Amino acid sequence: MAVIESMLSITTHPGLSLLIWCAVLLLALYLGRNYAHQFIRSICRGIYSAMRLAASEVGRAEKRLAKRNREVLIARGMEGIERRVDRELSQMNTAVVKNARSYAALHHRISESIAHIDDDHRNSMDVPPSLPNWKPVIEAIAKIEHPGDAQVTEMLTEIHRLLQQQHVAAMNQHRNATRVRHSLLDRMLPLWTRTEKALRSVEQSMASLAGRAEKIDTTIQNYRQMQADTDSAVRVFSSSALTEFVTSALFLAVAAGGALINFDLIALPLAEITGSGTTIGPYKTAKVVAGVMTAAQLSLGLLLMESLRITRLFLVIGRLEKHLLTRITWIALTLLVVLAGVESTLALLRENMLADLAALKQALAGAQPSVVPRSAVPVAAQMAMGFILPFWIALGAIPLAAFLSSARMIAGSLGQAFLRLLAFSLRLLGQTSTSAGRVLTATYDLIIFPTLWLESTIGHMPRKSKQSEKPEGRTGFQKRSKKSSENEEQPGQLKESS
Amino acid sequence: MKAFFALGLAAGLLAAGCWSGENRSVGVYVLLNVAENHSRNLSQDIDTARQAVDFLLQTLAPADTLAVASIATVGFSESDIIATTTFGRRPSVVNDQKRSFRFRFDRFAQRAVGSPYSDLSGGLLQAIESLNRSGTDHKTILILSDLKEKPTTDPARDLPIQMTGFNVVTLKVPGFQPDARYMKLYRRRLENLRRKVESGNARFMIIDDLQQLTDVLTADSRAEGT
Repeated sequence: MAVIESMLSITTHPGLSLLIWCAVLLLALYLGRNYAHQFIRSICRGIYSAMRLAASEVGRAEKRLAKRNREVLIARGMEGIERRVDRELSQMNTAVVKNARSYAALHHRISESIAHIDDDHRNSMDVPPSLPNWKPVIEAIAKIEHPGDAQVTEMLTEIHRLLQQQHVAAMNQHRNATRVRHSLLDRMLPLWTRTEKALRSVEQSMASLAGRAEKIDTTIQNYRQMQADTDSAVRVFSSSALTEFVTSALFLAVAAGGALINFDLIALPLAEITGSGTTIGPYKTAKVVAGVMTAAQLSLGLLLMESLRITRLFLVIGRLEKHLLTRITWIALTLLVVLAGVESTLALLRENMLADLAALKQALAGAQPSVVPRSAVPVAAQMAMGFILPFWIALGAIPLAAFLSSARMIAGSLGQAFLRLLAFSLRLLGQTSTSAGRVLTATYDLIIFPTLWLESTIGHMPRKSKQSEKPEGRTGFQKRSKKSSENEEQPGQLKESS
Repeated sequence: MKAFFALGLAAGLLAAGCWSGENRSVGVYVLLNVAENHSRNLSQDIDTARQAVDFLLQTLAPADTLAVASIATVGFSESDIIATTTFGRRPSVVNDQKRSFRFRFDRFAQRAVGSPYSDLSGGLLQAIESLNRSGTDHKTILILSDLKEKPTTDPARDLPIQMTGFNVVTLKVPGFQPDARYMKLYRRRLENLRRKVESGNARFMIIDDLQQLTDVLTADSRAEGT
């Protein structure tokens, strides 16, 4: 304040002092105008260049990230297709091995059936001789008249009887031969059926193999198509990654709910084992153990899924040999069953503890103990939950793996979007600094406009005669304005050159 | 597999390192005076004491310590301790201990006799010694008494008691409806006790309700499932 007062007291009138100071200030600003403009322009150009440089670097980083994302996305999608092909080939191999193993037996069965059929057919080819036409002979002999001679009568009767006998024997023989033939033909029917059945199974196997081969063919075609047209592959894989991310997040949330219930179920009874007064850090030991047990179930689930080749989070497990993987599967499964049994027992213990606690509270409150018998249903339900929840949590390994896998894609996309936004912001800031430079120089000129006006007026007067000769000429102020506006365009030019 | 073993080993070491078993136990010593004079009667005091004991039994957790002693005597001795226990670690054991504690208190309540005076100083000394011996982290002495001591010329009674880290809490007994003269005396006795406690570097509190005792006890002393 004292400085202002002293400044205003250079004359007897403060107003006049102020006017003098304003004039001095305007003069100073006028004299330093070019330098000030240069300074403002330099600053703005510097900011503009820095922002452009930063934006270009960020843009390059964004492109690198996009490229990497694309590679990862394609690799992931291709891996999925390869896994599908691998699975189909594996199933096909299993089917072929199974069919090949049973082929010898099948061949033997068919050959045997055909041999039987052949034998039967050969045997059935022996057609029994047709019966002699005994009937008219017998009838003719029967019609012969005998005059009453006993000898003749006896002879005729004997002939008749013998003929009858022969006829019956021939009939029986014919019937037997026909029966044998029919039985041979009958026996051929199941053999035919068996052979047909065996051939049908071969046909089914072949059809199944053909179906699988067709599937593999389609998948391979897709694979080639995706390899050839990566843009469409990226679109397809991005969409599937997002879908997988959302669905796996939902399933993971459900699994997390199960884990929380599991934690609550076992934390209280574990206090009976670990002791209720001990702590690990700020947390009760029982709660920590409950948390570790829940995490162990998830880990076992991961191990199980990895060994079953359902998930592929650990390369180390993926590289193990098949017999080792089988061993790991059985170990993980056994441990899970043991944990489930332990939790089921803990659930029973929990129910007993709660009942005891309720009885104690009643006693301390002075109430009579309840005479209502305890129902077995809650106990059974808790035990069942205790047994099922570990498996439920273990199954959570599948959505977890899917979530982690798809989260990489989503995080990459988000990072890309962020970098793009950052580059845009930097570019905008650079452009704004250029505009701000123009505004500042214009504002500067606006502040010192009286001096500029004076300069133009003074410069206008001696050139008046010349101006009359050159009506289209410009004044000094106009020229300077033009020059300054040209100079202000420089950052823009830099933009183009850069 | 090596990575798995290494991971398991690291987790085991971490768990072992974290297994500090930090002591956060609470010790409460109740000094109880069942008195019989013109304004209070025995059954009221017994009821109040029972409520306090029930509240503490419901509140205290495993590894905590609880003791109840009668100071309705001229000279406090070990025989005046009604019940004392340090709860075990297992909730089922703790429940049994609480039942047993309550049983011993009930037995005392049945044969309790009133006394016009109390040996508060002797009781305080005993409580301090007992709680220090128990090794609990948070030590609280709850006084259920009108604080009336027999006038004595023993200079040892007025010696300052070292009770750093203790909380000394006194409950305004519900049946205690003093007249003006009695009120004045009671206030004077309270003030004397406050001076004695605070000179021993302890915290002194007066509570109207047992629920306020929960604020005195630390949060981790609250019973959870026991």
